Amino acid sequence: MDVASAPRCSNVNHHSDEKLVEMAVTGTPDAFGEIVRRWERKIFALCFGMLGREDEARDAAQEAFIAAFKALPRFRGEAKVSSWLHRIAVNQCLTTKRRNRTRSEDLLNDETNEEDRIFVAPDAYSPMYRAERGERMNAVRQAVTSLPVDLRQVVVMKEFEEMTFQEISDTLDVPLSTVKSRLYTALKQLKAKLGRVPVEIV
Amino acid sequence: MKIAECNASDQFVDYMYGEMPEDRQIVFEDHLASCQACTDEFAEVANLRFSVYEWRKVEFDPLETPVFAIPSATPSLGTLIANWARSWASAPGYWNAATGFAAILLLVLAGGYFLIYNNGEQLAVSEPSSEPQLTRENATAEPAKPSVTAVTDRFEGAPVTSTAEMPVRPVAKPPRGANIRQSRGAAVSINFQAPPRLNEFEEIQDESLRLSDMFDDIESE
Repeated sequence: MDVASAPRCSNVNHHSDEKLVEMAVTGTPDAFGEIVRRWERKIFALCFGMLGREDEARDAAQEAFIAAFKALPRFRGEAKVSSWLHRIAVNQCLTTKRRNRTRSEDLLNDETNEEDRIFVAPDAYSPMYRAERGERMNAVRQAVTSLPVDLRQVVVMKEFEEMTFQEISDTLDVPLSTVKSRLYTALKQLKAKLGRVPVEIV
Repeated sequence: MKIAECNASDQFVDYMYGEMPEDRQIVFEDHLASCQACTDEFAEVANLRFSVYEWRKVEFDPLETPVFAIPSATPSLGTLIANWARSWASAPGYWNAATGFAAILLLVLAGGYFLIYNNGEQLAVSEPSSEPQLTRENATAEPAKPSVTAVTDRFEGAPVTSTAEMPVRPVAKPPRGANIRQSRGAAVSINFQAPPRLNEFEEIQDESLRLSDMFDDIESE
């Protein structure tokens, strides 16, 4: 479902999420596509946060949107669409994780299988997608560089140098709980900083 | 249920970065599946984490790791030889055999060349011996034992004779601009300072003593 490269639908993009769900239930052709376009990145990020692998996260997000499309008639509007999608995605990720846990150790340790599972990004990204990604990169760069030093160094060590929390704790000579709280605080401050600029596809 | 009541937010980073033990993972996932507030909060944190991850991947992963040249002291000759020997020892067997054979061949060739070159020098130049020397002055005394003496303008006081029976090609008068000097290990070396010209032969006068001249002198006497 490569909705990012699809052209925007001018007649549905100004509606709310709940209205789009209603339109999708009644059979408006582009309504669900607009929902996917709005939420695909966040759902993919949620799946990536749970699964830790891009290829599995992309598959799980795909399955989550298919499940959401099938569950459209059962959506009653009691919760927000975002929460509804989050729950579907979390359930899909848990299914994926359970399936991975039941796999044999030989299959998981097979290097050939690991190489086959490396995610290959599609090369047919549209210019609009590239432009949006460029704006998002600028916003993230500014947000990260404006973090306080003690928070920024934890982000850099974790995300860029891929150190474990224990390694960061030993390097900075601070308690392990401090490292985790600094990272969580840094992510919360990034949320506040990125919330001021339109980095999401809305 | 509020996030603070759940007290699960401090486990988000542990779970998201895969540093939570598996038994705690199952408990956390069960809670995540049942708590909408934690699910939404986790989705927000995961989205922010993915933004940073995407930034790194797009802007930093394509960059090549720079290669730093670490300055070090110039290795001594012994170190170089030791390194060469170590690399030679770690090379494959056929390579060792080939390089060993090449080294032996080179040594044999160099030794042979050295011996031949030294013998040639001894034939060409030798110290004055006790035997009668044949020069221009006493060439008529013993005509039966012909030998050739190279005579030059500069080395008349030190006659250069050949102790062997083979004739030695006398050294001709050097052309103009040439500098003749006797160097160590060589009989006579000629160092040309100016390039020879096409009409140079007109100025060269061969004043060396030839075998035919001696016989002419004998016949005339």
